[in-house]
Amino acid sequence: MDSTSQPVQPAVDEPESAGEGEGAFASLQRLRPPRAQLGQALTSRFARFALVLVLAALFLLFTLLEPGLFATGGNVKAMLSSESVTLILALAVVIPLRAGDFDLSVASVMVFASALAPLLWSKVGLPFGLCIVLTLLFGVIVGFVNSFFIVLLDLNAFVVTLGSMTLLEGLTTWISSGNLVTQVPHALISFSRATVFGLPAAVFYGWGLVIVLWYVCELTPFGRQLLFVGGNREAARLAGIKIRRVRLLAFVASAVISTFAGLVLVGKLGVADPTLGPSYLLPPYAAAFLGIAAVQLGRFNIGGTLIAVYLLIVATTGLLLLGSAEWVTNAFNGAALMLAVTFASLAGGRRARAT
Amino acid sequence: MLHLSGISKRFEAVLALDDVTLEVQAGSVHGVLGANGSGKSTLIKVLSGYHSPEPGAQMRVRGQEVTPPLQPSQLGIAIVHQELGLLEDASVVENVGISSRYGAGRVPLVHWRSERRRTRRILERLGLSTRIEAPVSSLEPAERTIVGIARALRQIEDEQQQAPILLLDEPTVTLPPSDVERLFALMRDIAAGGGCVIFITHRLKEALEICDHATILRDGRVVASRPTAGSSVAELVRAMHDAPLEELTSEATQGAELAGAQTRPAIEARSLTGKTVKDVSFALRPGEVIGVTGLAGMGQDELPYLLAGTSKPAGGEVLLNGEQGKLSGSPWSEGVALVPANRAQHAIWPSGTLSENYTVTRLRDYFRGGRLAHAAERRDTEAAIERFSVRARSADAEVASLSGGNQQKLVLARALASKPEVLLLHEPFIGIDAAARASVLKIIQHAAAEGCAVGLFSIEYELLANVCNRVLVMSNGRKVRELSADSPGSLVESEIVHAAQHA
Repeated sequence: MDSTSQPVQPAVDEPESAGEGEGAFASLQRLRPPRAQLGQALTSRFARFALVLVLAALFLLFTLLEPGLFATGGNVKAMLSSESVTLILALAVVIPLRAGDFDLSVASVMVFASALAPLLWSKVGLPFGLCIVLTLLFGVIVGFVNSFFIVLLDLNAFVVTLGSMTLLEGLTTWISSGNLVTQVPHALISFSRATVFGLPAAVFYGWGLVIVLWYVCELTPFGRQLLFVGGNREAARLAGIKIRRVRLLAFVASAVISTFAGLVLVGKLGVADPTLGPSYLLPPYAAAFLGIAAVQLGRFNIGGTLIAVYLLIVATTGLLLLGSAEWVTNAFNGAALMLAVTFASLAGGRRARAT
Repeated sequence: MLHLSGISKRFEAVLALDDVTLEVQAGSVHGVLGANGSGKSTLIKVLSGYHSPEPGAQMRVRGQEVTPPLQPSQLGIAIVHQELGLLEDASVVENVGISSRYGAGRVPLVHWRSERRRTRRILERLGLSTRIEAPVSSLEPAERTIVGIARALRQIEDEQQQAPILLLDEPTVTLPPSDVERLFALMRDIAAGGGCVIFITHRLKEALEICDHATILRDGRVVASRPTAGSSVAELVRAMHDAPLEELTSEATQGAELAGAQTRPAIEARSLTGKTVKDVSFALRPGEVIGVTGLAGMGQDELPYLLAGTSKPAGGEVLLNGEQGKLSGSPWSEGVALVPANRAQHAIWPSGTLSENYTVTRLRDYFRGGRLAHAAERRDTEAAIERFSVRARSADAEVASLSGGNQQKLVLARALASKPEVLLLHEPFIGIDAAARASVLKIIQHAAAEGCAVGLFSIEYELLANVCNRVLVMSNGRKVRELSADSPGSLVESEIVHAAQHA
């Protein structure tokens, strides 16, 4: 059958259902169904937190399959600690995604920052505080450079950040001469490794950021504007939203958060490894997209991303402990990303938002 | 020729179509009429095979029994959807031929030269002389509609079907009267040749003019199916709505008096020039409703955006309350409210909720004590839903779930919520039914009576005549005539049509 003559699906008038007739007398003959029936409310509430149940079920499953191995304090601590940086990067990715833009440069920004701060300290000999300030400032600059091409020149964000990602990878190799940067200021190491309630401080930075960004996304006009810009850019502009400013802020926030992730990373590892970038690109995106399936269905959101980060690590760690080979981690993350995108598109089609 | 019976369609709890029968005779133009939400759209989607009806449906095309879903392209049914579904970046000729695979046979090679010739011939018949290599995105709305129709005609030609079936969904909303005439002639040709045309429209006058037979839907059921000969618009309206339409009680007098007493214009254009607008000057006083019209594409489509400051003028200036406006590109904060013509693309965020769409222009007002007051947003949205009789499940429903007319009412409610001094409406009547039009007109008159200066940029002459104190007629970007009403509603539609056509 000729696929091009398929019916064109109307964009707006979609479910025009009977009984929704309208007109001057609508108020007279208005039949308003009770606000989201109970059953529907329960299903949709269930759907919003189904991912949490999946997380719990996986945890239980691996606990039973690997007694004394999986559900140990040490393993849980290791999982939380290993994902502290991924969580921060995933948050960096969510902000521009909410506004409809990809920022692929996050991992490269992080790795560059992780090399820059110790090099400024050891090679240039700047005081520690200044190194940190300059590194964060570098994040701001990357955000502006990305925005210059994407927002001002109106180029495709995916392509531009693919470029800046590769550019920064090159620059990282240049400043580090391709070697591990081993001279890391002690303050930076204790910044990430200090133990709080038995967990490394790095874990709490991620959680703190979750709280801050959740507030920004859900409770400030800026967070709502991000979504509106992502949902319909032209309508947002005509509704008076300064879309350029919103997108610029999103890219700057993304780059600064990535820089922060770089500082946490170098403190955590104790060295800066210029080759780490590629392995940190996919997991944050997998988490951000999987996050669409939780808390706020069909939308990139902070809470969903947090759940997704931990779901992915529980699954991959569990599989590794079961004796799977290393490649399972990548295979699983990739598959999860594809499944998440599929789900997002299905959920976007019919989403019952009960409140 | 086309016979459907027992067509029902259920969406969860809602029965969108309830045992609908549609019988279209060969050689006829058959109108399908109904208010928004009457099931028209669902019926079209059944006809186009997008929905399968519930079991028990009977469908016969040209005497042949068919099993759902219908496959229009295999049954010789050509469809022009309201949304057209053109490929924006592809050229006119690429768009016209695509449904017929550019006539390519088993060897998939395209003969572009003959393709261009055929496209030109079809477009000529429809009265469109445009560069056929131009991308569709550069066309005016009327031209796009014609390209959509040309694609269907091309498909009919290719199938060499003796008796084609053509389904047109609201094809005339964007077309100027002369094009509508040409389209009607074409529809008559198809019917005269033994084919049939199914014509879906809100415009009852047009339906009476062109249709032999009309099927009227209300709440998913067929309430009447009869020859149109001898029917009147009033009868059709009565059939479509169970209650008679209230007369437009005009608050217009109040607005007009207000306008007469005011000397300082709320908004004023001085030698405003843009891409299509050239050197236009006029002033709009509080309480006044001014219409700006012309044939399609004469500049009235750019003007509201220049006035609102969302498009940059090439020259001239806009004054708000006698002062040079800051025109920051964000009109809302300066007391100017804008209702764009293209709801889906320019006004709403479809997957956002009603309340998120309703408050977006005034988010700062809801940012209290360091957080967005979600409860207040929802409460105000519920109140607006009630006041503007928007049919919606709740303030938390997705905007995409509303019908076109209800979306428009929400957009209007949002525009008025910012208590604007100037309200600019670009084609606010597109894609909404007679009853919704009446409520939109009422909303406009009420806003004017409260002292709002209203600019109505539209080619719907009849509606302009009903509500405007003055009508400016544009031609090739310039203001060429100005018609004034002695008293509100005294402008005559034919006068405006004449002025637009002979400008």
